[in-house]
Amino acid sequence: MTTGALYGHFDSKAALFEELFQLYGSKITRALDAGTSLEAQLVQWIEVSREYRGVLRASAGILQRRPDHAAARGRLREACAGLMAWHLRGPLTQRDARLVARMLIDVLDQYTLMESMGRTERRDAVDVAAALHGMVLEGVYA
Amino acid sequence: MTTTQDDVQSDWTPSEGRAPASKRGHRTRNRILEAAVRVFQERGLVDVTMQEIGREAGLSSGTVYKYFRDKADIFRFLVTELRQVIREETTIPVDGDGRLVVRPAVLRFLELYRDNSALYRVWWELLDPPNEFSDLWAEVHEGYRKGFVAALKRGERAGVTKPGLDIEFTAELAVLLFERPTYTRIVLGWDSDIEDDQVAAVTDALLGSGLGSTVTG
Repeated sequence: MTTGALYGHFDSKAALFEELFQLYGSKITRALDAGTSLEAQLVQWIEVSREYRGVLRASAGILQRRPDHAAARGRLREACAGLMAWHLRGPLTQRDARLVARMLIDVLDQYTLMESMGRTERRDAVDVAAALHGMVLEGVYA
Repeated sequence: MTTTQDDVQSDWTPSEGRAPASKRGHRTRNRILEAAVRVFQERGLVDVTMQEIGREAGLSSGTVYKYFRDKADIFRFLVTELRQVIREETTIPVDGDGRLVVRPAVLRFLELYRDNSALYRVWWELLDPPNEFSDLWAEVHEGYRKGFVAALKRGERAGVTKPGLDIEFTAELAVLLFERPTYTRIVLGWDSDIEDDQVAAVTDALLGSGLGSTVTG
């Protein structure tokens, strides 16, 4: 595709990025919504984020410099945390469940970012999710 | 976050700035550093110029260049100091049973982050693409990870670490549990509805005995 053709669809590089970020947001919220357990949601998170790793790297690069994007990223995190928190319900208060969900999202955000940067070994999404789920359920001590 | 930061070897050479000979020179250099921190806090590093740092310090950019080669040189100087603080202050003690004592460590980490939020902001800003600062960040991260590995192995010897736990990868997750939520909280300003104590309590649970049967699925 020529640069001219690209401009026929998007006004700028920023507009193209925003479109891709919205696609990522739609896909990840749909995937989490369909997740039947917390562990399944964690797997989905990793797989969708891997698919959009370029978008997430670009997002990380502008997160502090573009308040509008930071706000959009924050809203997406909240939406995802709400979907994950549902599986953390029970004796946990809604507030605590949401906090745990936010922290899990943050952990996976950094994990997938580091992986895409070659800073950490790529592992099977199921194994990563199982390790994190195990930590949530049972911690690290017997 | 545990005691093995010194185990990680580095060929990274920190900047000393252009060392001023006089007391007045020291004062001027400190004035530049303080101004840089204020500017970094507001705008990060990438979009900032030496001229702006000079203006904030009430000095000409020519004077700023007498002390530092460029803005990265200023950050290099500041992050060298921060790294020393990290070495000295981010340790997680282990109790008599061999378990990590997490809560006070989380609160201290949050405090350290708040005190140095301008520098952490820049550090995160410079993570990608790879460069000397992201290499240093990765080195600090690996130091933390090794610390957790050592602590969990100690727990394993004491019979308290969960049998069959993948210690190497769990240690990686433990570092992420400290780093990213602290970044989003302090630098991005998210989760202002949550108290530090709640963050510490959740981290304590995840690096303790977990949330147990409260979790479905």
